[in-house]
Amino acid sequence: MLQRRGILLFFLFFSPFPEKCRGSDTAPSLAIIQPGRPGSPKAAEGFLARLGEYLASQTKLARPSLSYQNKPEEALAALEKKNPDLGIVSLGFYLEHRKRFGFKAVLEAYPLRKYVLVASEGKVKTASDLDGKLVMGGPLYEPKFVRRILFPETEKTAASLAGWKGASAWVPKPTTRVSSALYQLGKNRIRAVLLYDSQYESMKNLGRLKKVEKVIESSYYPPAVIVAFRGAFKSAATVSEEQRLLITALEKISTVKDAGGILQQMGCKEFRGIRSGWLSEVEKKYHFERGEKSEEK
Amino acid sequence: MFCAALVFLVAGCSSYEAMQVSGTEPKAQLNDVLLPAAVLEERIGEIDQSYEEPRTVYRVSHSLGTSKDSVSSGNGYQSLWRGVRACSWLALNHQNPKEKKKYALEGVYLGREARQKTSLQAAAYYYSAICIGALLDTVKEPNTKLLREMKYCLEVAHELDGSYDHGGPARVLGTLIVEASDYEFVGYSVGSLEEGITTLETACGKDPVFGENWLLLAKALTQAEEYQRALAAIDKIFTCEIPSDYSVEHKEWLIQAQNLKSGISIKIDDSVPATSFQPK
Repeated sequence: MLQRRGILLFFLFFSPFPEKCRGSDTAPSLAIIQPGRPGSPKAAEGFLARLGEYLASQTKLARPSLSYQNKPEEALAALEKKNPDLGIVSLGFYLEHRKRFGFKAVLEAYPLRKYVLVASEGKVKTASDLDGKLVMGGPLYEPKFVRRILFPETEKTAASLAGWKGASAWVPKPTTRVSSALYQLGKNRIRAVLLYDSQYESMKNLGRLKKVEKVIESSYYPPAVIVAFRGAFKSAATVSEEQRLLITALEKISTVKDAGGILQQMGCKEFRGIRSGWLSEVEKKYHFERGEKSEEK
Repeated sequence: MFCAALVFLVAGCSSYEAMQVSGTEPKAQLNDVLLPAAVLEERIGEIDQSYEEPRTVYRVSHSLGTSKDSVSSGNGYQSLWRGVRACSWLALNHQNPKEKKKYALEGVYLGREARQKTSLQAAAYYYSAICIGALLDTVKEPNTKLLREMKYCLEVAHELDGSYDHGGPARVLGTLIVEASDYEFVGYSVGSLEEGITTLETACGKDPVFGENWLLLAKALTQAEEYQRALAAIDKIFTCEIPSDYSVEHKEWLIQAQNLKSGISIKIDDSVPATSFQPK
């Protein structure tokens, strides 16, 4: 009898299941940060509901708790309080905060896309026309990403602009509202707007880019990166069981009937594994270019 | 009041198109009642009285019920749009989400009936549009067909009687345009931010002493970073009369205007551009 009680007490105090390995009744969590789509947190409500339902049905876990933030400062404030299991974040956000929160990049959104800088016709003829001038756009929430990855001095696709010297002299003005940025451009209050290539094409089709021209464009990058918040696993390469289930569900989402709408809302066609060597190269470029080793956090 | 819901109207109008709004046309039974003209007239009075302030779910539900029971060629189907009006209020103000959706759906159905039967009345188109907006709000998914129908209804309502409900058609249409201006897909686009502002200015012109017109214009101007013009619009709100049919809402508009003014003051302080990129 005493021996049986001892076994019970053992299980009581030394749970064989670590904290991260919760039962299926505890909801995992997923944070979506600066994905650019599907727009504002309010606009994303329906999308979040669909994604939550999909993940619950695929993983057999409790319906995940989902959050959506377009502004980095709001996202950071939320992450300071609690780290989710998984995140879908912009590449810029990943690069800037990966060390701070122990991100492990597991998937990338596909297809890759370009970033396009547009300006009023004839206003930007040489790179110096952008010096000290306001440039608006969503990616500018991560100015270092724009300067070091999208439009560095060495960016070949931007070299078509006479006197190209990188984006260091731009004055960034981040915004989540494309309409507002184009309005400011139309009123000649800013010099240029940075758009995703899909935004550029559709705004052009909608006739919102009258008297506006493409100035430069970037190389191709994934619109979003899926990251595991490692937390307790920070020093290890592994991920928790819940994270693994969520990652698997996201990886195969493009093959699941009726789930295509979720991807469509995110503006991509699938989530695929990170290309070998690519991300480490970008990370290296982000942190070490121009000898800024001290910026490693 | 109705425009407040438009902030949420296009929620989800980003890129997803596959959603079907099932049951948009419930098969409600609308019998053409045969009642004496005097009774029908009395009923219209009862419907309007139940819709007067102070509006409650109980009173507006009564207005709706009486409207549905009074559909008749004998009164030129004048109860139909009144039923849509009641649905629109209930869909926007009911506390229960399921009830909201139910009334929105019913309003969409009744609205289509009302537009057929009273095709020259702005009210039929106007409240029909608001019910469509309320439906989109409850389902939180985009639907190109419904958005197009809503825009069409508001444009027709504006053509028929632009001053209806204190410039309501232009007010709701302008808000719809502003709220949807960030969506880059052709199916969901109803206009640019500039067009939205212009449409809201039209609403202000239709009824310059109606607070909500100026409030919504101020919000749109804030979005466009036209802060001085937004402050001027806010000042107009404080000079507006208290409308007898929106006295409850007017108080809320004043609070919102005050908050918006405070928010703009902070933004003006912060409007010095962000720091330029760090030099190498």
